[in-house]
Amino acid sequence: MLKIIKAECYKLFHSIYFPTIALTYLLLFTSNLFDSYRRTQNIFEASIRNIAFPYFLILSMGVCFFGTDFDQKTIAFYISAGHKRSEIFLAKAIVFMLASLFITAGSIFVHIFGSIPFLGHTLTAGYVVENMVIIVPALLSMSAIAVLIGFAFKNVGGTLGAGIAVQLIVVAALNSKTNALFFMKYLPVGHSALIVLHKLDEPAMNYITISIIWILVCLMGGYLFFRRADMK
Amino acid sequence: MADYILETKAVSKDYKQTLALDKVDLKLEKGKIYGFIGQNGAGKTTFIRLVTGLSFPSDGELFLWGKSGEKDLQAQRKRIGALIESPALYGNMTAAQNLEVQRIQRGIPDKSVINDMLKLVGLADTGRKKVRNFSLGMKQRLGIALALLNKPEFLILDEPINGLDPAGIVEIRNLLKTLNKEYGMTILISSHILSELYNTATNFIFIDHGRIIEELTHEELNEKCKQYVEVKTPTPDKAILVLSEELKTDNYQLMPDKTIRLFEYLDDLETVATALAKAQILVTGLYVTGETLENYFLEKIGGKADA
Repeated sequence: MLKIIKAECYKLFHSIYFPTIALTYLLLFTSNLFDSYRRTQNIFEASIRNIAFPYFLILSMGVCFFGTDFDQKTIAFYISAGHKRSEIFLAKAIVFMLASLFITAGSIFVHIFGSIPFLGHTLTAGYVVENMVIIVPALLSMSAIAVLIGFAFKNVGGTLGAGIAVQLIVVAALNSKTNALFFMKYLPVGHSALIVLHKLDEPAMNYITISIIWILVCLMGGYLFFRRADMK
Repeated sequence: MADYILETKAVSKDYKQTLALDKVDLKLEKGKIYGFIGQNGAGKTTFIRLVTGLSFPSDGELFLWGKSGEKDLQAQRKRIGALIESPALYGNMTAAQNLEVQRIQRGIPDKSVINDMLKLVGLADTGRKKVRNFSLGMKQRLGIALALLNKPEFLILDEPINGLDPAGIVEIRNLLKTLNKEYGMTILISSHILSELYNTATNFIFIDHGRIIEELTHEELNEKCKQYVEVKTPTPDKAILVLSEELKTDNYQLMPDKTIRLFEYLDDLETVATALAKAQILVTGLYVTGETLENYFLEKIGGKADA
């Protein structure tokens, strides 16, 4: 599996879409920061307040990462080279989820450290760690949804279409007038909203568990779609 | 069992209501070049996909080097190199980078293999040119290089000469022959260009509607596609006497329609014509003819076109 992970990393670092999406994500993520900062208590909350907004870029990265691999049939190389499908799936999922985390969590840290020259040290390390413990699994579970979509549709069009649909459903659920808090608790992307609204009324472990369940369900689902699938 | 690189026992594959392969029994021996001949949709690519693990048989059993079962098949596939249909390439990378991805995923420690392969297929001077800007022929060459990267014992090439110019076709043919001769590489090659397969393969497998309809060696095919001089005359008995006594040959056949098939003098019709004329035999037809591989194949599949 290590060989596939290395190959996937090589592909990622030689791609155009990875730095392009990372930069676009950071720009979009930052674009609402000034407005958010006025509405929240600190730069961390201001940063994560908009976390769902550029989520479509992570789904777009899923399109490039999974969709094109199926469309161009390049994933067939791993299979015909004798790698187990479980290893191919896991290697691709791991690299994608870590790359997504690098972009999403990285952008939060850019905001935190980037604000120091203007605002000074307004946050303690303890505060950041305490909240990142909830945010990181939530971010990983968001990218796990992209993994599921990528392996379920196995093409660019389907992955893109389903990704947009997921984004719309998530945004609609989080803005629900009656059940917003329920969705914020059970949709991983909503955990950041709970932090911003100071509505984390359960132990952190509960939120982490919800994110882990999302990750496991998405990964198992994605693997089931890939395990016995006929490749083009 | 272990003498065979690949063996299939009653392998079938159906896609919903379409039967793509129907109880295929095949045995491929080590060190041979197999030409896989069939129309579009005959089942060639489906068969190759099953062998390379890209899809799964609906029924039957598949053996690679005598090993069966999903786990063992996966392990044996490390010994295979494959190019299936159009080469799967990363368009935003260079030829060397495409090879590097494959080198890494196959765990080949020696980086020099990349330059060796690029030289071997004539792409050494492509430098930083992105693969998306390659011609079809260049992509095909790169696909072949990718298939050869791990120095496979069993090479599977599905339509490898698509898009190659005549010089490229000859180069690839010579390359395949060299790989087969010097390294004992077993090769399964499918192509629509039957004359090219005829020049490359040592064995032929004909497939139609998902069924193997015939397996032949090159010698057997030569026998079936034999060229001959057809002699048409109202007096075939006299003509046969001339062939025996004047031309000193018994390598002929009198056909039921009273034409004579002479399997010698293919390049020397003048001598045959002179001998018959001297004996005052009226000749109404004298020409070289015989089955071509195309005709033979079309005959096998019932005269349908699009080989």
